[in-house]
Order: sequence, then C-alpha cells, then structure tokens
Amino acid sequence: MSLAALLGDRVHQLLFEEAAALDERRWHDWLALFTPDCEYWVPAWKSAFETTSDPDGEVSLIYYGDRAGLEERVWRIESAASPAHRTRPRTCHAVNNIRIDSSGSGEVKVKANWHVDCYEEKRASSFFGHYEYSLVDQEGALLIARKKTLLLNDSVPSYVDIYQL
Amino acid sequence: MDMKVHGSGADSPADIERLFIDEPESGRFNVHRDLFRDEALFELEMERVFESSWVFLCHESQIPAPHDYLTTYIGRKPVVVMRDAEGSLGAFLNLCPHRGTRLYTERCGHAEVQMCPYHAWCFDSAGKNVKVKDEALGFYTPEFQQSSHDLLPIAHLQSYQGFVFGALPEKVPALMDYLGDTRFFIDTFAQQSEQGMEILPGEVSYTYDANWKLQQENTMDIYHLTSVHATFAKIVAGRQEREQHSGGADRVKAVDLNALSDVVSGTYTFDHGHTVFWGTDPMKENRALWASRDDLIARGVNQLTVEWMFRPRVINFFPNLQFVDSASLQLRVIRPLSAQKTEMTMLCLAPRGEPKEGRRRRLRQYEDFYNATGIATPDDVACYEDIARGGMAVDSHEWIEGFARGMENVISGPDDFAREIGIQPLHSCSGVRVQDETVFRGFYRQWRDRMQRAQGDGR
Repeated sequence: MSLAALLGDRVHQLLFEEAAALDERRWHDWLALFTPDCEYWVPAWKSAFETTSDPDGEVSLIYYGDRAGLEERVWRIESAASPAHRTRPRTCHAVNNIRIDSSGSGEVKVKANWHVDCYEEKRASSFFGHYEYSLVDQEGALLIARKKTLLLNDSVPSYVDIYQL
Repeated sequence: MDMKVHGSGADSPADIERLFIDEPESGRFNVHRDLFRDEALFELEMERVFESSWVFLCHESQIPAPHDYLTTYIGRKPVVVMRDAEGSLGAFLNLCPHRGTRLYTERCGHAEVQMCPYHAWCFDSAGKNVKVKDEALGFYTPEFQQSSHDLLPIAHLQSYQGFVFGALPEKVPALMDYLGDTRFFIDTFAQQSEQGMEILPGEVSYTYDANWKLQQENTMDIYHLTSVHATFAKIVAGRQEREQHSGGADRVKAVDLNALSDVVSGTYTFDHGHTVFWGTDPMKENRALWASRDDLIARGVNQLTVEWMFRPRVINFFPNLQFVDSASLQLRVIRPLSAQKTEMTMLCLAPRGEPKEGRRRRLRQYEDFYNATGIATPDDVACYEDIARGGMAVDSHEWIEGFARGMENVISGPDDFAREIGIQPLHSCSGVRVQDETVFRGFYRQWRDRMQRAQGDGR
C-alpha cells in the first residue's frame, strides 16, 4: 500500500468512527477523537452562499476554541436535567465525498460532505452540509485539531446539538 | 364586519371574554388553552393583533446604504423595507401590483430597480413604477395611464433609536405613544455607543411547534430559570470553579443564573401590552460593555440609563419583538406561522466600534446561551413544545393557571425603582425570589382588548 493510500485509509477510519460514535451515543469515544486544544466551529450564514468567516467579529452557530465546550455539551446530554434532551432522536450519519486536501507540516486537511437523518417522536428530519477538518498525528493516533461544519439547512426545526451535525 | 371565523366561536367580544377568568378582586387570572391551539383564533389574531397596529420590522443597520432592502412580514403579509436613492426608508407590500407576484427575494439585498419576473414591470427603490412593459404600444385605457401602479406602501413606517416599526392601517397611535415608557429601557439598548448600534453578520432563525405567545411568556418568566436552565447554570458554575483552581480559563464569563436568583429583580407592565423584566447582576464586570462604562458617562449618557445597561433585562414589545439582555444583547423577532408553529429570527445587537476583546466575549456569550444551537434556548423551546403536546386534551384541560405567583407583591403604578427612573408602569412587582408571574396579565389583557376590536379600529 502506498503512503497516500495508507493516509487515506486512516482518514476514512477516523471520520467514520466519529460518525459512528455519535450515532451510537458513545459520547466519550467521540470526545477522545479531538485534541484538547481543538477548534470546533459551525459558522452562521450571511447570505445565500456566504457564511460568517470571523468567529471573533461575526455570529457563529457554535464556536469553541478548545474541547471544554464539547465536554460541557456531552455532560449536558448525559445529565438527564436538560428538557431539550428528555427525548433524543435516533441519528444516522452518512459521511461521503471525502477529499484529502493537503498534507504536510504535520497536518492533514480533509473535506467531506455529511448528511444526518434523525427520527424522534415518530417524526423524521434531516440536516446536511460540508465538513472541513485539520487532523494531526499525536503519538500514532490521528486526531481532530480543527473541525468546521457548514450546516446548509440552518433554519432548524426546534434545535440541534452535536449529534445532529 | 365580515367574519371568516366561526369555529372558534369568537364572533363577538363576549366570545373572547369567555377565554379569560380575570377577577382581580379574588386574585384569579386564568387563560383558556384555546389561545395556544385554536387555528380560527390564530387567523383572527393575525388580523387584529399583528396586522392592525405597530410591529417591529428591522434595525436600520440591516439596510445601511441607498437601494438596500430587507424582506419581512406584517402578520401574514409580505413586506419589503428599503432605502431610496437618498437613503430615506420606505416600506411596501412585497408584491407587484399587477398580478401580485413576489418582487424582492433576498432576506437582505440591494436593488436600484427591481423587475417583476412575470411581465417585467419595474420599480425603483422608492417604490415607484418606472416601467410597464410595452405600454407605449397602446392597448391601455386613459384610466390605466392616469392611475398609480406604484408599490403599495404600508400606512406607517417610523424608527425609534434605529429600531424600525411599521403598521398597515391608517388609524394607529403615534409610535412614541405606543412605545410609551418602554423607551427608557429601549434607550439602554440603543445608546451603548456614540457611533450607534449594529446587527452583527449571522442572522439565525429556527421554528418551533408551539404557539407564539409561549415565547412572549418565556422571557418574562423568571420562575423557570433555575429549573429549565439548571444544566446551563451548572456548566457556568463549573467554568468558574475550573478557573479558580487553575484548571483553565473561563472563556465565556456567561451570566450566572444562580447569582441572579438571590438578588432583587422585578417586572413592569405597560399600556399597549408591553412588559419588562429586570434583574440585578452581581457580576457586571463580565459584560462586554463593562470596559466602556466610563466612556458612556463621559459622553453624557444619562447615568441611570448607563446603570440600567448593566441590569439583566428584557423588554417585550407587543406583539413581535423581544429586546433581551440576559447573556448578551439579542433581538428576538417572533413570526407566528400557525396556532402551533412559530418562526424565530435572532439578531445579535452590538455597539459599533466595540473593542475587539469585548466583541469576542459578546459573541461567545451569545452563542453559548442563545439560538437553536446554544445550551439554554433549546431547553425553553423543548418546554413550549411539551406544552403544545400536553395541550390537545381539548375538553379535559381548559385553563392555564400559571399567572398567580407574585400576587402578594404586585402593586398598581410605579415601585421605587420605577420612580427613580421616572416611568409610569401600570403594574410593578419586585423583590428577592418573587419570580413574578403576574406580569403576563398585562400582555393577555392587551391581547384580549385587541381581539375584541373590529379591524380598522387600530390603537
């Protein structure tokens, strides 16, 4: 197997494991795929085809400069004290069109398309968009140092959380 | 008048009256659940609540330049607000007078001239018809040529401190009278920068499956904070604790709902159905605006206005806007879609020229709490939807009885806090942990009053 194919294989495995961890509600496995200083960003939309581009000057749907925010969300989901999580959807992530953009300087940049079907209280909904990742190799493990998620259908029914993105 | 609505039994004022138990002498105030689930009542309230008087349309900063436009709704009616070549604001029904085709398509756009896609009639940014295709070929009567084919303007359009309001009918109160003493509180949102206020890029919207009035209630409802937002409060406490024990900086410095519960807070109801909640924030220094407080006073902003900029507060403008400053400034625009479906549009309001660090903190606080993607607002939305799900037991559960708490503290007219700032609310209620619910009565009494009026009798 060539080096490029080897890398592609590891990238696919990471992205598919992330999707599976969310669908299977293995929240702590999911968290472990991110570096402690990861950036997790879901920008808002400015117009039909333009998202916000500066998280410190414009509104984002979600912006975290490290993993603590994701850990808080996982705690909240598991707490059984949040009305928004009294019932939760079954989710089905499909991650496809995975492209390795560039690699070098210890970082692998990856783009992909995503689609999440959700089913809750006898009602189906879906969310979809694009992912952009920066992945790093830490002690032999490929981890997410940066994840940017574009949510294309951003006028959402009720609310969304990490497992619907 | 011609009433299309029969199913609701709301054909006369008495039929609206039956939806309330309002007996101040015995302390009873209940609202019928039909207000939250009856589609016929919904149609009537579109006409009499939303389309018969002032509603909020937009903030001036959303359409900054000549020929900029913004599309929105007044009740069920599509409206475009735009600036003409000189920059003056106008508002029109967003449809071609020819066949009624929608004209302006973007939420915010720019158009010196807009052409109808159907028969190519053209309109300038002042709403004037500048072309009827092939008119020169003839075939029109002189009457046609003499009558106006301009866009249909709404009867009233006026700004207060950059906030743009509009009304469809001729007969409405003057906007300043309609806003009344809520203007003191609106000023605390409007005067935070010498350069004015702006809506930051990134408008967010979501829908929920429940009645719009639940959103009006929620921001006045202090009683819900410690239960619905228990996880938010605990997360905020966790960040503070981590920071104290050098476990990492608290990057958000969010509003501390626990600290907020043990200090004085209050509510006011005003004429025309507006309501206000206010609190006391023991950690004012965590607000993005804190760094600018000396500048505010130095440039001559009323000292009491500045002081109130650092109180958590919400103004519910009747019927469709909430000025919220709990976690950070937010405008929430309410658009009812049906009796059990509501669209919310959330705008991040900020002082222009804000220092970079303050702007960053404002955004983190905003995203943390608010929107369908935050960690507090979804819990509110879940409760509205559970009310809707619990609300279909039509004959078995008729009355909502959640308007009793605070009755021993509520007074007619101003309390000491209101007197200090020189306002005259209809009712005041304040104290520690009162978590007043009587404030909802002001909203519902105005709703009842509007619903009992024939259209055209706008007030």
